[in-house]
Amino acid sequence: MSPDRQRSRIRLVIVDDHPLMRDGTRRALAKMSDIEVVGEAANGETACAMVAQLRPDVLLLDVRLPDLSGIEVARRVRAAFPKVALVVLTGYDDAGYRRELLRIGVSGYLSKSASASEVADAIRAAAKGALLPGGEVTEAESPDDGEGLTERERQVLHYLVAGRRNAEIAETMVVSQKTVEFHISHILQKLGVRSRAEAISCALRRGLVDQL
Amino acid sequence: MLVVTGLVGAATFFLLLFLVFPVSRLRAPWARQVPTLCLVAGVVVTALFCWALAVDSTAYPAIKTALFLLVSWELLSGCLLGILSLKQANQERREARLALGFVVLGALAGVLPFCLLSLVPFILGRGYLLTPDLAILSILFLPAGIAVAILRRQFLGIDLIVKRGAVPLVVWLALVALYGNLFHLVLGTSVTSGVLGLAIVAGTFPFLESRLRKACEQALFPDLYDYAQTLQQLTNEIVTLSGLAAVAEHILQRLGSLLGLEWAAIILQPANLPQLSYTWGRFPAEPDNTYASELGSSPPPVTHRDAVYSTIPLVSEGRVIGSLQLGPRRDQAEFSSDDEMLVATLVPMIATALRNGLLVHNLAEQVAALNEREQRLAALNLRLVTVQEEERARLALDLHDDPLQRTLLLARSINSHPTPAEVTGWRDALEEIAISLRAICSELRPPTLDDLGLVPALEVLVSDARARSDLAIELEVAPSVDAWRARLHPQCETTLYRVAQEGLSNCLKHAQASDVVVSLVRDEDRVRLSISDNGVGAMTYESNGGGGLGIVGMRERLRAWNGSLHVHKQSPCGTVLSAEIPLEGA
Repeated sequence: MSPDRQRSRIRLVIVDDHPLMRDGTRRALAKMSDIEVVGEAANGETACAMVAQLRPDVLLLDVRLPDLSGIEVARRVRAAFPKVALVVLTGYDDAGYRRELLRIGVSGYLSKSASASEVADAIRAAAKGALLPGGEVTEAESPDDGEGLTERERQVLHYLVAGRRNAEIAETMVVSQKTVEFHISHILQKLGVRSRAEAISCALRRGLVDQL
Repeated sequence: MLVVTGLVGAATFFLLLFLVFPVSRLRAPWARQVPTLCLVAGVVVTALFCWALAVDSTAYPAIKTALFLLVSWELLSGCLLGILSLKQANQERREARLALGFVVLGALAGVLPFCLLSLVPFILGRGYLLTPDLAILSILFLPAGIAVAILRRQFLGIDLIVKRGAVPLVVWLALVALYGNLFHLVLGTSVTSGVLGLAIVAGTFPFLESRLRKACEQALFPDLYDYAQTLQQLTNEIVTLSGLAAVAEHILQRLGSLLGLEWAAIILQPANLPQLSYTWGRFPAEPDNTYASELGSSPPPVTHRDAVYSTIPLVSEGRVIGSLQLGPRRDQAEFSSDDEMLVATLVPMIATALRNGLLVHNLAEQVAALNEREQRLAALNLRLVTVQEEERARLALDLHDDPLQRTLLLARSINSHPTPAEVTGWRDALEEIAISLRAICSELRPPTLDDLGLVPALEVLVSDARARSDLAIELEVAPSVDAWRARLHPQCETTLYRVAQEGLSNCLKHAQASDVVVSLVRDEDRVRLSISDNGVGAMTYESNGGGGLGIVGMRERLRAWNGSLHVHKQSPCGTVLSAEIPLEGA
């Protein structure tokens, strides 16, 4: 990018239908000296109009919107304004979204539980690098272990390998069974396997967990 | 003997003759008494005659004379009455007078020669001018006169005669008299002629004769039937019977026994229904291969004959509804023209009766199907209410047990001066709450379905199901994931998603399977989703216990998209649940 652009602050538009969330994001980013929030939109149509009008550097986009889905907004913005970088915030973290967004070509993909600094980093990265070749996705949550498993998921996988049932894992980890299923579902998707049994054998084969 | 029969016959004959005349209309009261007088005199003389024959034969000549007197009196009084009624008959009724005139003329022509040439000379003791055997022949003019009157269709009392079936009687009497005389002339007065005369009298008596003839026919030709009568009977029976099976079986039974068949069958091919067949007798296993081609051909019910049996298409309202098949006759004889005519006449009626039966049958089936569906829907309705409540309770429990408890715990643990470790703990707790809420939301309404479409949503669904159980679950998408980028109608996607969800949930709960394959295929004109497992099979599958709406619920969801649902068992084990939706609506 041009030196001029680098020196100036990153112009950002926040798209989120939830006012509290929008407000929270704006406040958190206001502390960052290099990021300037130039607009906020509560739905997809407004977001598209705002992008056309303001031409921000980065669009911080929520996936769930009342009218168009965030995916659709991303698709339109990518088609009409390829220079606008996209960072997607989502409450749902699964492979389907990741794959689709990768196809469209976004610069960042964050869980909504990501901290302000993580979001800011993602925005900076997006503004700097714009669209990465091959659409490599920045994943705030994922530690770098090759399989993209989070710390929690590795923990659950560990218990799985130990032969625990979902209910037992939930009890041990002091989480609900649903949460355990949620983690296992992600593990299966990330490992690309069809069942828990396969996940266990895959984990052992690749040495993803400590040998028991 | 001949004389006796001749006289009794003549007496009866004249009684009938009097019945012909409108005696009651005669103005002279005495004239009305003439027939009664004749009858009484006839009875008296006959009694005397019998007495003379049995007891005192010496009285015979006197009685014989009285008898001849009586006969001549009756004959003459008959003519007299005729002339009297001709004279007194209504002047306006010319036709009636004319007819009456013929009868009187006939009577005079028939009676006078006999009276003048035989009876009167005999009574006067002069002997016969002409023997009575010859003289009586003129009596033929009497029925001839009546016949002319009948042919002119105007004869005052003719309706009485016709109504009482007396015409054949009159003719019979005349014939008997004729035959009697002929025998007498040819054979002379002998026992033979007497017996022969009696036999003829008895055998040709109209009512007796018809009975006798029928009995003979039955005995000689058991397969013979009265065409008109049988046709009428069968028609009545067909019309009064109700119910498809009753009509068909009755027709077969009647035709079979009437025509003496080895077997008979009715094959019905109703639209939208399986073939119905009714048989009678020893029906062979493979009766007809030419049937199909026969059925498609032209509507007129032409009987098709071949060596073994006949197939007659049943046509009603221009549509072939099936066929009537007649086996060979038990005696291997050909069908008579009467048989063919009977069958050809009956076939349209049979077709109509069967078609009516079919309509009722169809209607009954439809009503039954509707009733069943209604019951299922009622059950579904009840289930819906229960399920809704169950879902709410589960949601409340999910929210209460996990995120709410965690939030309360977190609120309690937060203090103003946290250590870094505590802050990390809070963060973890918050993340846990978020995951828990996300999972709940996701289950209520998967966001993937709206944002990304059916295939990614199914991927998540399958992945979640894998996480929840030890099943190996495969998701197969055809023709390709890319082909699925063109979205279906959102509601339609939801329907398919829910069917998959329900199906998977059934597999998890009831099927006791180890492998499940979810396959989603998109053709040019339809979408098919199928879930197959290697579990215990459909029966347990159907008896869906908790949670979902079961097969009925899926079916109702699919119905909105003209879709259909099939559950079938696989061999050796397992179940395939497949849903299909035509694409034009989706």
